[in-house]
Amino acid sequence: MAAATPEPQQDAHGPGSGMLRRILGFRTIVSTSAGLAFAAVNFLAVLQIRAQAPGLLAPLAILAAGVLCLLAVAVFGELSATLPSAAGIRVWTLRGLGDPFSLTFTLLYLGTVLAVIAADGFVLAAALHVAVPGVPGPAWILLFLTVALVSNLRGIQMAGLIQDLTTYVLLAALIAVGVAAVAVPGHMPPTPAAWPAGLFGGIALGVFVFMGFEWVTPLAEEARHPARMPQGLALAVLALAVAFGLFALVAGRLPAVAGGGLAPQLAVGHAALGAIGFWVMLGVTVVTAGTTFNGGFVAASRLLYALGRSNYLPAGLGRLNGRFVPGNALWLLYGVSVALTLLVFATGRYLILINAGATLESAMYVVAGLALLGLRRRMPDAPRTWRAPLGRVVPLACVVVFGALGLGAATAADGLPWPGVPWTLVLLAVLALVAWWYAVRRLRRRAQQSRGRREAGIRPAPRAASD
Amino acid sequence: MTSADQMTAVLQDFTDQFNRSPELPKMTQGWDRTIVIRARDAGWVAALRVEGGRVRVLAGEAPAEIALEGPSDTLAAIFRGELSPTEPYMDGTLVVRSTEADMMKLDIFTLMVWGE
Repeated sequence: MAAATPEPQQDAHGPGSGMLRRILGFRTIVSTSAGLAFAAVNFLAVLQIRAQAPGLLAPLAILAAGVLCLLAVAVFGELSATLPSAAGIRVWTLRGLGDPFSLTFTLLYLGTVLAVIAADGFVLAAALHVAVPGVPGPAWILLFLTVALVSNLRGIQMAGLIQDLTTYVLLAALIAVGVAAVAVPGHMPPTPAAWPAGLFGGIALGVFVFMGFEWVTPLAEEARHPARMPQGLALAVLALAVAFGLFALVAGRLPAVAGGGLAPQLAVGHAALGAIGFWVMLGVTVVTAGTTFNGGFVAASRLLYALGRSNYLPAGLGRLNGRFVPGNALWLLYGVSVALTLLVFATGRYLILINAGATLESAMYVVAGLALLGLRRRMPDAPRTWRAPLGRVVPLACVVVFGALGLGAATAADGLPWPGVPWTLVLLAVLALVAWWYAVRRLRRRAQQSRGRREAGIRPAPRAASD
Repeated sequence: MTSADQMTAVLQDFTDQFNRSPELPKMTQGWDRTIVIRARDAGWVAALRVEGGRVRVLAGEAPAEIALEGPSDTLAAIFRGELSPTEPYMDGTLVVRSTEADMMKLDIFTLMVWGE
């Protein structure tokens, strides 16, 4: 009996997708994309955007950043339609730009996850300290990160429906509080004379608000209609633009927020709906930070596991515990997250994380644009369930626009000593050099091991097709 | 290129090793899954069924929780234990459609069948 049989005709959803029992609907694509980008630190990012782009420029900057992110939506849409892979960025950059660059950028990308976790931990601790002054901030940080670690180590996962509901409730609560706050008397600061520079700076940092929306693309393999992935991403970006644009609008005119506290969302909630608004926004902060910790641990630990298993990182990271979760990777993430979050909390220097996050996210979109151009050149005839319109215009515009915005974010004010020094740029340059050095060294060692295996007579493993 | 008959032999060998393992039948209790394996270049489809801690080769295609798709030689090498599935997965040669949890379990089970 030949168990392997000739392939039957494929269905309309692409190769293999029709056989799978587990498939994701459009609603889940939108909620997952928006949920991954929805971070508590976005509220502080709005303050930072407002510092660059005062008055009405702040909401305009966020809306403009959202519209520009649609370029990235189109690029990620085509990438996931061409090479739908849960390894996402690693695969696209490897195929489009080569191994050393791909590994370097993947490592830097892991750094962004840690930066967002640290920034969200800081915001969570600041907000809870306002609500419960008797408990020190670091205690909250340890509590929430430990809960995220333990639930991940035990393999506990949130059901899809609850995940959907959580995101939609968070967005609805933020929009409802924002709408209620519109009626509160306030004063909108005047638009500065040098508004174009302010608007550009605001847009550059505005990209931070959307950071992570594309992390849903690895799920393209499970989507019921992969061709609708770009629409889902676009809807998520627009929902975030409306919610945080509205928040920037109301936050910019309320005296309570102008005071410069580290929990502007609580001040807006209180001004809009009194004590209820305060507690609603505290709940939004807690749930958002919790989902950021959990989502960050899940995504980063799986990537560390895969890199460890394929010997790109120490093999210990590629071990699973008794519940089939990558325990070593989770402990490493937990340790680094706790240290980084406590450092940010102790120093109060969170701006550099926002600047670095916005820069890396812009760099991510630049790299995605380049990877798409590379893939189109190397795999011109590969089947795609969706293609970005206007030929090379969209990926090229993505590279140019986000290249400029990334530079703007990297040189934005960071509140550190010696204001003339672009600390964000310095930090990222050092990290990139360390990651590049590690990647080149590791790839060389892998190549030596592979040669050793061949010389020992072990049959070489089949390699990727060069397509 | 690995033919359909060669792949059937590879899968049969894999299932024998799996079912002989002292640990895997215990570890896979309650993890009942169908795995479809599709060779892009050779045009065949194969399927495995893990159920009650044992694995068997299915005849032809079936509704599945996990789908593997890639070059026939890569798929054969994975089930012969010559290649960790993670490596072709990370370079895009192997496409895996499943939940992350199932993906990692399958990865670790293939590792345990053949060793490091």
